[in-house]
Amino acid sequence: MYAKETKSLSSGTNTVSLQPNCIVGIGASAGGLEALQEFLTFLPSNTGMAFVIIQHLAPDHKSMLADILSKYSTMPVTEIRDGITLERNHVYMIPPKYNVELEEDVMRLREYDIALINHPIDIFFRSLAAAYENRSVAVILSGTGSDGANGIRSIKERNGVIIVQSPESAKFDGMPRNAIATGFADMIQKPEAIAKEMIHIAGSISDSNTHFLPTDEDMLSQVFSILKAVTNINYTYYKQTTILRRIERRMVITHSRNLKQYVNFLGNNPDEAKVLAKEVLIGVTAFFRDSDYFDVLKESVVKQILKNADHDKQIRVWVAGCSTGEEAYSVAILFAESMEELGIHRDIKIFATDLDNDSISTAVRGVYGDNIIEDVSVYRLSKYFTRKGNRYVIRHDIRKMIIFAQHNVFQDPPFGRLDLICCRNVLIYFQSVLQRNLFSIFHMALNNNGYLFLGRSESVMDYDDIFKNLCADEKIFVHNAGGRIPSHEKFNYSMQNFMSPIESLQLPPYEDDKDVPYKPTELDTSVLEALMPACVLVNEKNELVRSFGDCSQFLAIPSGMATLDIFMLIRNDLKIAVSTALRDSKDKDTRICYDSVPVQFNDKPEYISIITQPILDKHGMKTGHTAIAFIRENRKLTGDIQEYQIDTAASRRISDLEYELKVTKDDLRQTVTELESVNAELQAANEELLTANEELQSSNEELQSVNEELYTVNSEYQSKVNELAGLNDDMANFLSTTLIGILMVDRDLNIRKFTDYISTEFNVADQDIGRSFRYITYNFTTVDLLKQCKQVLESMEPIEQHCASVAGKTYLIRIAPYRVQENSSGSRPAEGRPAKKEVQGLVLTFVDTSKQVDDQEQIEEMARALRLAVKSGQEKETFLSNMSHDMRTPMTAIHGLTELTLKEYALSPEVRDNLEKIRTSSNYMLKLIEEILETSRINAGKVVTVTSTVKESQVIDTLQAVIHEQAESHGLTFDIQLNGLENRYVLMDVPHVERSLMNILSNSIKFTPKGGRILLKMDVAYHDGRADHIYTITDNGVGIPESFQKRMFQAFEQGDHTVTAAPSAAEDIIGVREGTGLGLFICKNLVELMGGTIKCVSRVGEGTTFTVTLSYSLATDEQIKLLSDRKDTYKDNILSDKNVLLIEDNHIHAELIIKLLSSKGIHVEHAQNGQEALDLFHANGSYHYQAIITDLMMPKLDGEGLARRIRQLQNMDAKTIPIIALTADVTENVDERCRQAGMNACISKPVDPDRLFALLSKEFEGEI
Amino acid sequence: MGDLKHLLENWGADTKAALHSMMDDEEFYVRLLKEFSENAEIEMLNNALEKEHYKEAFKIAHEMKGTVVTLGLKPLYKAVSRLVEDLRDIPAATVYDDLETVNLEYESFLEIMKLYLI
Repeated sequence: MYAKETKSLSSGTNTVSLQPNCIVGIGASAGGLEALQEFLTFLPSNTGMAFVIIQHLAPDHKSMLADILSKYSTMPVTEIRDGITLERNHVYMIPPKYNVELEEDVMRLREYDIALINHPIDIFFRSLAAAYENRSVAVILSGTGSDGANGIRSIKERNGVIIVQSPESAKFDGMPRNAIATGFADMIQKPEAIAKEMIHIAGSISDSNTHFLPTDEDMLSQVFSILKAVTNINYTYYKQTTILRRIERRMVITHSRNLKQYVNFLGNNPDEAKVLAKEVLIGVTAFFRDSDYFDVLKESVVKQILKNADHDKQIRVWVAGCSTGEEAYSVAILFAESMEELGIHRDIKIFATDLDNDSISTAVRGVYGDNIIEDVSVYRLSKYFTRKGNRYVIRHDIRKMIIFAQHNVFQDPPFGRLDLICCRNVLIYFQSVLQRNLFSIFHMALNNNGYLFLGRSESVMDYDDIFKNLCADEKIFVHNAGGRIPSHEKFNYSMQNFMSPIESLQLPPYEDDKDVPYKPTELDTSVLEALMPACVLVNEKNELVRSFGDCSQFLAIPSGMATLDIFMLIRNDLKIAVSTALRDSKDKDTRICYDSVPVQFNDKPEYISIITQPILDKHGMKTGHTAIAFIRENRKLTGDIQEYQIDTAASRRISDLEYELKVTKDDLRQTVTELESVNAELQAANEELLTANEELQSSNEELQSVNEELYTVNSEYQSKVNELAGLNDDMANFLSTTLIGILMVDRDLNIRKFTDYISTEFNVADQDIGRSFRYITYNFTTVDLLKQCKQVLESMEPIEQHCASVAGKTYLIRIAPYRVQENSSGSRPAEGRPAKKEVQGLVLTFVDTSKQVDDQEQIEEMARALRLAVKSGQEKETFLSNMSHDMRTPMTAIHGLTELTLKEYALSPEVRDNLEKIRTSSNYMLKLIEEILETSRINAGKVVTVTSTVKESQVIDTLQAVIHEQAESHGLTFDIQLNGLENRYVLMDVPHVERSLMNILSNSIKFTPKGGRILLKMDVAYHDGRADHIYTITDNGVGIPESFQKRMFQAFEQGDHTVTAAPSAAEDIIGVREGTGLGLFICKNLVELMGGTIKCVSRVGEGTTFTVTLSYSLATDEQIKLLSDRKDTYKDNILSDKNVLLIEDNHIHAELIIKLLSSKGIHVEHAQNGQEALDLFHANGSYHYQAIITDLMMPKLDGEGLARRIRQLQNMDAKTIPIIALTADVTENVDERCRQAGMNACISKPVDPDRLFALLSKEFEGEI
Repeated sequence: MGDLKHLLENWGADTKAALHSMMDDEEFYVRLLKEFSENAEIEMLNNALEKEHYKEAFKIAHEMKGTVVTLGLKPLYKAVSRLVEDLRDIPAATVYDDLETVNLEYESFLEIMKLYLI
């Protein structure tokens, strides 16, 4: 898009600046388009801001976002070019393939490597924060991932504003959620609200830019008071600029126009106080922040500490101000790496503390977003973190090095005996007084030659003699315990953790106006209003604060140590009176007046009045101050005057007592100091006990884990033991029941085990186990078993021999080594060598061969007889074959000439009759010859099976067509019954199967009288890629005598049974049966050639049943494909008016398929899932649908499940209805899975309409 | 439909194959494209992966794969196919990177549809 011309308003020499007062960086990714449209729709065009949109874009595509978004805003929408200057009231778009950075007001484009992970939003936000600081606004919109989560950290550091789209309104909430999880988001809103917020932010920033400088210290004091009340933290000594900036930011966010308005808001909203307190603490941190500094820390500090530490000494580290834990984990990782590199191990304990409890909670979890990949190297990520989803979790071995705790460095006792303190970017928030306090704490906590690691812009101030420079640039210091400590207020910490806390003595504070909780002008007014003229003001410690009038008569500077204690300054003769009045005044909280108090002025006695008055502030609150007035003139006062009676001796005594009290107080102070020191040590001890407790807990958990592992192992062993016991039982049973004699001995020939069977030849019993074999008697006299055993032990080779026992039996004896694996004896095989088998004894086996010897001779006889029979058979077949071949030609001639002659008309009836008889006889002879020849071919092995891919039902269809007609003509009923048929494609030798079955059926027709019934039943079973067919042909014919059944399958065998039907023509003519006696012989041979079997069961007068069993291979997809891989042609008329059930849960697909099928006149019924389809199929009955087309992956019941269920239904077409699968999956086994589920075919998406129509057409036609 | 075809082809889609499977019915094709641009599959996919429901994500991605291949949206098809393979067994390490690619390609498709429909 082209940038619209924006003229700058100029009037003479004055030019209105086009520079934006604020820049808004907007980060968006997936789903960001909608959010941006909404944002721009509601965004005013005159905010004075510039908007830079950083949208994740595909690097290879030209983006049209600028075009699209320009329709939603009246501001110009421009794609960023390198070097352009940002102008107000403009929208800028990032181009594809580039990152954008802002350098002052100029935009720079940098091409990025698309092979690497890129975070353009983080990159831009960092540059924006650096360039525009608190005038930068970061907006995170819809998107996945965590881009932006790191960048907003920089915005936060520079006091910019961060707004995140609410996850509920985002199309993709990954980026918003990750941004919110950082805790830096100031507002979470919908895009419309974000746009409206821009108006407020623009207004607030412009107000603060012009003249915003809070000067009202009272307001600030109120802010501190409120913060202290909410957080119990005194922010008084935090850097004012820091506090002010935070307040300014909150004012922008809360739309407060001035400080007063904000303070009112703060006072009425405790939550805002908490937010402000958190803002002050800020907590911005990162892993290995200033990574080069950490590298130096590792080499110069960590490794040194490790090398110098004793083996049994714990190395102690304190990370103060650890925030969300990244720094502590970084230090822990450095230690882990250093230990590995140095090859040593030490006990490391890292105390990581922070004031903010929420930060500590985050640190404890140790879970971070994938934005940390910018700070942590790939190596460290893989070694010290575990990735879970899009989060990284710190590993346990690092985590257990650290103890996290909420801790106030100024109030809570510090840790002691430390080797390293990391306190980075904490001091920068404190004023000098607090910084010095902290250094004194560190001085006490660190060991001599311990290390201090500060932030980039921090220094040790005047503690440079205590903390010597080690690496000045990296802010690493060495602790010099004996160094000169600069004088300043000593540290002071509370002992809140103890049961009976002791109030710490307050040392005199700095004389600083800021510390005075009242205004002098106000007090002057109060005092002047209360008393005249000589008057002193004392504080709650009775120390002189101010005097009014001439007090020289009443006060004097004592000799010795200078002091402000009023009782040291007051005249002796007034001490008692003043002390009494002061005490009473404080106790009763009222004015006390003493009149006539005797004094000596210039050696002249006088009476004065003493008035003590507690002083309140203008709000009526106690200030802790009391005014003491001395009135010389005798003036009547109001009715609260008392006459003071003094006892001189008593006054002296009182003075003495006061002195003793002072001494006691000093002693007490010293005692308290010592006690504090002891308490600190106890605190340290307590903290060490806590540490030990945590370690014990950790050990406990490890023990628990080990216990669980042991339990698991124990269970496994128990299982193994049970298995072993079972095996032992099996072995015992085996040995006791086997009819083989087995004897096992060890290397010393002591008996280990034996079978019961051996006791038939060996004199051995159970109590002989462990005895030497040499003491056992046995029935073998012709063999020296002992000698042979020794021989085998030496040679390690088994031996076998036959021998006879004295009991008359013969045995095959085998003696073999008993070998075991080397592992089983507990020793491990040497590396690289295969496991050897160790010989631990011998196994003697005795097999009874007596029966075998007898059988051997019989077997030889049978072999001889078989050879003779075979030879005889072969001679017979050769003769038949030659004869038939010679006879066929003349018989063919006779048959043919007879046929021709019968066609002549001029034949006498007698001649015709004779010729017909000749024809019948010649037919018979030819048939006989053919069958003889076929028999010969079968026997010669010249008949082979040739299979082709056919449907299983084809043979039945053929038989049905032929036999039905024949049966009808003989007055018989012919039925077919099919069981289990799925009508798949198989490899079948169709001609031979048809021939065999046809033969049997023909016989049934021949031998069943009129009115009879013939049943052909086919039972089918499928398994392991095969289909088993059992053909059962049953008739209620004349039956076959049992005597013939035994030879009916032999050649030339015919039965003598009679037929009740009319004799055939052949029987009439030639007096023989029509059959050749070879039919069943041929049938049997063909069946057996095809690997099947044939049986017959028959009873005379009842009928006959032939059973033929054949098994076929199921055709493969390739074979079917070859068969059906013709041109995808189809005829429309075959497709039209068919009903198809479509199952598809994707409505786009469903629409498409319905459209395709409807275009061919196919009626489509649509189901959303397999269960719905199943219900429809069942409910609509058999043959309602002509085909089913189904998707594979569906809810409730998928395509494969549906096919299986349909095939199991009782509907008549359940087994045969074509089921076609549609899938986008092109994995190898999809077709096979579909087949196994019973489907007919599988089509891949996108659907080719012609292919679909051709497939349906074939299925409808039932083609093969 | 000329503009839309041109935009889609530039992006890398195979509109010819898609139209062939719809018997060259352009109006029908545009309607299906519009339907796809408005459905919630991409959102469901992202939600499932966000919650690490990998099996559910696999089903959604598989479903989407079939749709985009039918519509001829090749760049998106390639991206979704990779994601489907990532999720087929144990989720691969590149799942979220491939998801990002899917989202980007889908955004590209949306841009085209928005331009065409404006």
